[in-house]
Amino acid sequence: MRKFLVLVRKEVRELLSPQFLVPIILVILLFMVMGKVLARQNMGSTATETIAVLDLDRGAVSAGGLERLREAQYQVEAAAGADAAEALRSAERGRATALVVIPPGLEDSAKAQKPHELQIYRIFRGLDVRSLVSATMGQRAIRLLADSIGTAAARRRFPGADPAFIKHPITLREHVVVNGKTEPASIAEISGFLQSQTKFVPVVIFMVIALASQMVALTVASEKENKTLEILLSSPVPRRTVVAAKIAGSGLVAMCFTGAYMIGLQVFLNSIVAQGPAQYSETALRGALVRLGLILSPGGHALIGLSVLCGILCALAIALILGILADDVKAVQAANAPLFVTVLFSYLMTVFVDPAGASAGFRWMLYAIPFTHAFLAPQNALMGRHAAVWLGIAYQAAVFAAFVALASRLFVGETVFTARLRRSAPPRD
Amino acid sequence: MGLGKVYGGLAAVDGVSFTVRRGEVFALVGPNGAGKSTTLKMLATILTATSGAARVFGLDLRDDAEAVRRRISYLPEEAGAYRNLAGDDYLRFMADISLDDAGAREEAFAFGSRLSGLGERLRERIKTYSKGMTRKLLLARTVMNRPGLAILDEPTSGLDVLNAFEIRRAVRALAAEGMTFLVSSHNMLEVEFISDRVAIMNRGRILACDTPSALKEAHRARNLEDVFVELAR
Ligand SMILES: Nc1ncnc2c1ncn2[C@@H]1O[C@H](COP(=O)(O)OP(=O)(O)O)[C@@H](O)[C@H]1O
Ligand SMILES: [Mg+2]
Repeated sequence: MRKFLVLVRKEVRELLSPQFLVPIILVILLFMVMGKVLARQNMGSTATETIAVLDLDRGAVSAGGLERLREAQYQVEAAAGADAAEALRSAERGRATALVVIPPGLEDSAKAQKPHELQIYRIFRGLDVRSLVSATMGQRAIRLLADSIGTAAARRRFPGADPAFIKHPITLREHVVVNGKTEPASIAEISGFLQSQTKFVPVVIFMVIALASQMVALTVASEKENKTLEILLSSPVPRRTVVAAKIAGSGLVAMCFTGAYMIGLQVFLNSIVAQGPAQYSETALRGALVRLGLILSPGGHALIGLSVLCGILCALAIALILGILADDVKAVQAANAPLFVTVLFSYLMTVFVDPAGASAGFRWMLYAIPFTHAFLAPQNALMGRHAAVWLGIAYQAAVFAAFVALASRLFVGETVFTARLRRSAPPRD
Repeated sequence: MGLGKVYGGLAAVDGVSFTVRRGEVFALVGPNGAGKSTTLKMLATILTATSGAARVFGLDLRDDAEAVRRRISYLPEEAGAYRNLAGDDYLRFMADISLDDAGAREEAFAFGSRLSGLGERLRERIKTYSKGMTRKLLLARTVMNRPGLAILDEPTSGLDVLNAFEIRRAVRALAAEGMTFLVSSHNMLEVEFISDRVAIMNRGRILACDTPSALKEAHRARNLEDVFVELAR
């Protein structure tokens, strides 16, 4: 046990070299900077969202509608130009993300009970986050404008009646049902929120698995290259202890890195959620999530953590074997490629494909990859499918045990020193 | 005893037999590819022999590998150390995993630190060391726990004259205190200086084995190089 700890400490100290630390710290910093920038951008966009308007009606109704927009903190810009085409040209040159053309005769249309047509031109400014946020804000502004003009028109035509009823005689009361619990809420908002909260989790799992396996393969290959492995294995240390220490050491470091990523990610998410589109910070939504059981309990978090840990351990044991096969540090990348591709495959498939809906053959292939269970754990835990998570953990543990046994066998014999040479003997000199 | 090693059809070591006596410096010498390293790796329990058997302190290499490892200490050819550790951390680490007794570990560490001759530089990371410094550190590591048998594969190869000289002197000094060495070298002249007995190897076989002076006398040669040329013909 003492020797094991000594070996683990050595592994950790070797791994925590600047080469390994710098990229990690960079990623965390990146998350933080990204969060800050995004937050600022979001705040900026609510404050100064610009809507260009060509008001050809110039009546009291349209003026009232535009006033409502200004009250809601939108920048309303009177478009320069006599007709839509001209106004559009100037709007496109400016900062506006939408042009609203209000044709003349609003009052007359209201009196005649004819729907009046507002022409909307949405200006596509790209796919970056700022433009996407702007697009949503623009959509809201337009709805607000249409609503307030509609209310005014309804009042004109049916004085005394409730304009709200005239506009929407039917209201929809949506409920969300989860595992037998029912709660009045919008399923679009619920899933939108959950997605925004969980979409980064698989990325982190993927990065950690890729990183950890790279690390352990590198340490084995560099020990082979420097012959420190020969020194170690000719010393009176049980070779199984060496294997265990390698896995424990890199697992420990990988977990520190996961923690760091998680913190960075949390900072990042918090800064978007806090300042982001209003719906995400609504406490009503949170309350609904809690009552629906869609907020993970500490136990759920621990379960996901255990599953991810088992996934990492599987990757470490496999990477250890791949590291044995790589003859030097340069070959590690290539030796690790099959593992990397498998993890990537399982990551992408769990994000884009619903295993339950796939064909049986494909589904079992996906389930046979141990990492799939780590990627599925967050969804399963969220939906209360704890048995599925436990099953995944058990399978991963079995795979881990099998690969550790194989790695130990390679270490106990001489294979660790001759593995590559069996495949292609060097020319004799 | 008739130790052999076959690498996929190539007999790198082909029935080699020799005995190292307690307290002597025994050298395997021969050109590159003669099978010296392979022989030493088998004795260091790194490789398993394809044929034959060997005993180290009466312990069978195959059956008692763990016990053999407690008695020997092996310095591989062109070995390095953990580059991110400081020299003293490396010595402490190796002492920690090689020895069970805390007092013995302390003693080994102190001995190794002194023997390395690196002084204050021991506090620095190994990656800042020159080749000569690393080799001295590794030699110190190999002998610091006073192994029953120290196996050194080409301990001076690739070093400059001065560093090689210091390594040779250290080996001789330790041998004078009673430590047993099994070394290999492709440099016949160096071997004459450090070893008590020499086995001349070529193509996986031992051609002759005796003291340097006896070998020279038998072949009426000026030095071991001439002996080898004579034997290899
Ligand atoms: N791992 C290996 N796989 C295949 N052949 C090897 C291996 N190691 C050494 N050899 C071959 O075995 C022979 C002896 O090598 P070695 O013991 O390293 O010689 P020396 O140390 O005397 O220079 C050489 O022909 C070498 O090419
Ligand atoms: Mg050699």
